[in-house]
Amino acid sequence: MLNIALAKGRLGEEIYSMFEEAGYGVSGMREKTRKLIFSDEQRGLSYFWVKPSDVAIYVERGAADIGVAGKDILLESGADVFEILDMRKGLCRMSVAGPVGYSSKPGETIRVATKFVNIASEFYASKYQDADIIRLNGSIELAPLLGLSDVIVDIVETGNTLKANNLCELERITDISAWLIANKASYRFHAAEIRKLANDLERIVSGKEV
Amino acid sequence: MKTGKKIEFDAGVLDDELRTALDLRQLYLENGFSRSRIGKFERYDLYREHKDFLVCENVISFSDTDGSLLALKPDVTLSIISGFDDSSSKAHKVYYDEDVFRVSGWTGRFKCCRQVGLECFGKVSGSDFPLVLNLAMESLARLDGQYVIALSDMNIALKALGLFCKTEAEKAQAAALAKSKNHAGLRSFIAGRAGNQNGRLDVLMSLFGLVSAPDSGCLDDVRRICSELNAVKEYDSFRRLFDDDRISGNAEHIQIDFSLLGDMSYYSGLYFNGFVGNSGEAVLSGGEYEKLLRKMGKKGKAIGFAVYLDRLGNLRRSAEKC
Repeated sequence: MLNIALAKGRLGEEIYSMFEEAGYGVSGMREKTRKLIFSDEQRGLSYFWVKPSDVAIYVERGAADIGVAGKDILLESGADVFEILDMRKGLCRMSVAGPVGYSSKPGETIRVATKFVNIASEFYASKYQDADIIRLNGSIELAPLLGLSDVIVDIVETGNTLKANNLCELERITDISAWLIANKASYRFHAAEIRKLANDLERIVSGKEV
Repeated sequence: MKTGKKIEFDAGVLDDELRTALDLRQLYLENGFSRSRIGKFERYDLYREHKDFLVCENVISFSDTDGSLLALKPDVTLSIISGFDDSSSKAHKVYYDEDVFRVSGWTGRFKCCRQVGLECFGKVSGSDFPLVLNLAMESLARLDGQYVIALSDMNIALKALGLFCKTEAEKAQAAALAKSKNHAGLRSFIAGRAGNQNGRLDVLMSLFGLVSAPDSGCLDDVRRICSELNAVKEYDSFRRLFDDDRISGNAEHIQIDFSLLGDMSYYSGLYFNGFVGNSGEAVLSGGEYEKLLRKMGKKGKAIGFAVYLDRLGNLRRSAEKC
């Protein structure tokens, strides 16, 4: 049995459609019920919906053999999992944003508001720049507007929210998308199944028929 | 060898961890390894100098009454190797059963973990490599009937990466992508720096994409790949392992995977991780660490492995459910 963790919500449903299209659908997944696990014993598949930020934890600790998680979550949590396939969904980028025209002065400690403290810390460490990282849980764009921070590190999709608040993207840290991930121990016992599933999904990702 | 007086007692007094530890100790003793005993404390400097060798570089340190800085051991191999006399003409074969103090990757907090393992170092002979790998597999078999040992050869993998990466930093970045099986990322990283090199990049990708039992077809594939990546000498050395009946006889439990890589500055040659059903993570890891010996100014070769008994919790819980 292959246990698969998918993220609740619109992106998770789009991902499940790709699994379905690749021939890995199970009945009941789309029904609005309180059921948490959807299994097909005969085909050896079992799906469960979890909070997007929890997918990597379920997979890393082996409760799920595979799952699909955002690269932002993987980078931030440092989850020790195999990153098998870029699903090319949920495309966006992790960027530094701030007031239009902002640039830090040499030697200055930059104040950075973010939900992604590990990504931000690593980014500024790689540039040998001192940064005061301020952890926030939401409305990150407010921080530079109220003087709480100089810049923010956050996910940027269209840039419209930034624009509406007189902010702009200053520097791109990395591209973000949803990734098929696998538990390192499960991979050893289900290598053939996981590799076949990844190949079938890859054909869907690249627009070919399975 | 001294033989102790046998004591009879009900095995029920032993908890699972102790029973497993004693079982493994018996296995290593029967195969010619003697017990190495080391204290719980070690010089802090030993870990500061070799922090990349540690599973986790955080160490609990404290000052002794004379002001010297000590640490609660986060590792056993470094202590064993630092004390060995490399002038001996024999291979040293020791096993240990020790507590180590490490930060858990899952909770981010220190914990005390029981670790059992063995080390073979000094004048190591060719037959010692299959012996140690076989004992690693026997250890896994005693933990659970369902087990897999993932096996790599760092000499082959690093030789191959060296064809495309100009600096050690590039090699480390490429190795990190290979380790996480991010093949698209690895291809793009290398193509962006070294190009396709007339199709040689495709050969490299087939080396890191290979996951197979060591049957004749797989070994033929590895030989072909290695010859195209100028790693024939490395392949020949790796191939000799499978001439040993103990290894070829257990081929169904071995998974060759060259993307399994240990720390490049310490490991060379064989590198392996062991998995048992439902463990969720590797419960055994080991390999050849000749580079560590050189860093410590010692001669000879070295191979060993550790079994992480604290990681067997998942396995026990799922056995209880059944």
